[in-house]
Amino acid sequence: MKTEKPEKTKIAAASAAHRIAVTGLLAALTLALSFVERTICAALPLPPGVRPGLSNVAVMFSCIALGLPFALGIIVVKAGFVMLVSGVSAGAISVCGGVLSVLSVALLARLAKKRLSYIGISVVSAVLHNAGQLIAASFLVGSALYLWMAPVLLISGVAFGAVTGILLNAVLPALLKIVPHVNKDKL
Amino acid sequence: MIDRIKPKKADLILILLLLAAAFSLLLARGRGDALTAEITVNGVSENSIDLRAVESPYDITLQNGVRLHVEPGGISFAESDCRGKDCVRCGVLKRAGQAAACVPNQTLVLLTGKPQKGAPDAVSY
Amino acid sequence: MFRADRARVASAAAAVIVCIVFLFSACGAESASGSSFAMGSVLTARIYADADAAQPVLNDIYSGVNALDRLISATDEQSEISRLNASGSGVCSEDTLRVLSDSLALCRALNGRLDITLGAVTSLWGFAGDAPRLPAAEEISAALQTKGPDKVQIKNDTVTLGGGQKLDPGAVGKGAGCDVACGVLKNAGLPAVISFGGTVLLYGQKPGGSWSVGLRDPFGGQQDYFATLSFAPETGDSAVFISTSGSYEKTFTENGKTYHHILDPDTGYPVETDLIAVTAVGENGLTADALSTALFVNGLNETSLGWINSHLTGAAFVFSDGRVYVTPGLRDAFSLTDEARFTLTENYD
Repeated sequence: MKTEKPEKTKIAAASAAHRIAVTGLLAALTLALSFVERTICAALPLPPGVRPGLSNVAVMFSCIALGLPFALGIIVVKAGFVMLVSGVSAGAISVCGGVLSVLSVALLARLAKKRLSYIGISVVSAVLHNAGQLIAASFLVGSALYLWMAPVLLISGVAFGAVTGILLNAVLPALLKIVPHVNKDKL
Repeated sequence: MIDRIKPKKADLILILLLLAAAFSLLLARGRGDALTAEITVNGVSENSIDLRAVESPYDITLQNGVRLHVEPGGISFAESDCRGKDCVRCGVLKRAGQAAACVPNQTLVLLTGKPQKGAPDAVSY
Repeated sequence: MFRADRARVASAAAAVIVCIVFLFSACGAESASGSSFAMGSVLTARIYADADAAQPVLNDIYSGVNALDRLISATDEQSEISRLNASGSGVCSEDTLRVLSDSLALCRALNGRLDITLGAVTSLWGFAGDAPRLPAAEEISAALQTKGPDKVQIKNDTVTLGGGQKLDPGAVGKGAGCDVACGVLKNAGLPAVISFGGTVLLYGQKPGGSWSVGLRDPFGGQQDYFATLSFAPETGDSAVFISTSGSYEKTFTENGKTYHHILDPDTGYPVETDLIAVTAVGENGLTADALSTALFVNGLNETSLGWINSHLTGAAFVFSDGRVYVTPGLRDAFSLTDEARFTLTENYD
């Protein structure tokens, strides 16, 4: 599907400064989404540790459109935010989940180019996000209590991962309008 | 542009595989039933251990000298200074509703949680 | 719009999946359980009701059983039984009188193979405490002289021990305690399973199923079982009592010989038998408890089977070689779970 060849010249024009500015924009979006999600989830009867992960929409987009380093930057910003709001251990848990999740997105975007849609990538990303959080929590709490939650988090990862994948599908045109100068070949 | 908008067959296979893994995990942990060991000394709750969350065995020594052995899904009296040692002979408690006690030390271990399917309601001994 | 619909469908599907997971963990009837010390062992109860309704019933059971213990304990020096043993006669409360007259009647009916007047002998051995010992032969023969259920007289509310008998209702205590628990449950009208030092009471109908009771594996731990008995009572106020006597309980070893706590009333020594455990099932706790001991002492024979017919629903005899004899009345309820080491037998001597 290499019909949009002229775009390639624009990528060259997209400077590092531009990319960093876009990263900042996406980081802000990530924080906003995760804040909204926290507020909504407080009112929902979800089991402990289960959250939809809406902000993953922005993180996935940045990982695919801008590249892994930029997505990792967003993860660090988000973890810093979580740390300020909920403490150091919550921040550490957030980093572990985020890094594992972003690595899986980068890997799948490269390896399974045409095999997986955003839904599949998002599902894997959400499941690994939960897995990373669970592993970090198990280490921090010093008990394997959290591994007991594994099946629930696995299923919720699949379910909410599919939801965020579909959301990414839906908002992709809008995101591209905000951030036009990205390598669309990778999307 | 790579078309990642349209869902692919691989997506479905991936989701089904992950769900299958989740359900086999659910089955492996015993139908999702909790199993908690409640330890009381002189009628006062001393400790409460989620036995399903125990990954490797360890021992707990209570203030009265009774040593309990905790293992994945089970708990037993390992040592007590009482003379009869009935508590140690009780063996490993594994099912909800089971209890063992060291009467001289007034130490009681009770397993709470929903009984597992197929496990008897009580054991006559 | 189309994509938004897809998202909605997907979130609905996600919600369904999450709900299924919770259904997994939420099924089963509500029940509350608790545990307490009584009569030197543990009483565990599981009552099928919500916690608010179950807690007062649990408390009533504990206090009822502890009240009985304070009356009939042979080790508590303040109990009515202890004072009776010390003074030779005295006025007793209604509850003590009922336990004494019921168990003395059973002692006579069972040809003295159960004897609650053996207190002088049992205190020599000290199995009830935590330091049992091997008494001298002269001590035992002297203590044996005091036994005799016929020498105990009950007139109105006064009990008189005619010839220095020492009462030890230990063999029926847990069963009598289960009878007390049964009375509480009958008043409350709640199904429950009570385990009191190995004697089990199944009260009423188990919500959504049948009761199942494991019979202790004599070669395994206290909570391992080799067979199960299942009961599906037809009425909500029926009570099934299961009592087991085994030579694996309360033992000590001296000079290479292991002594167990079930004494032969004729010799004053632990009964010599090829049985390793006997389980008695009946409609009364005290009777089931008494019979499990008497059947262990008397062995598997015509006399024992006669007692079972007149006092029990049925019984299971376990031999030390792994053979198991189950009386016909219990065969439908009985199922062997460990077929490798245990075999059912139809033969008896």
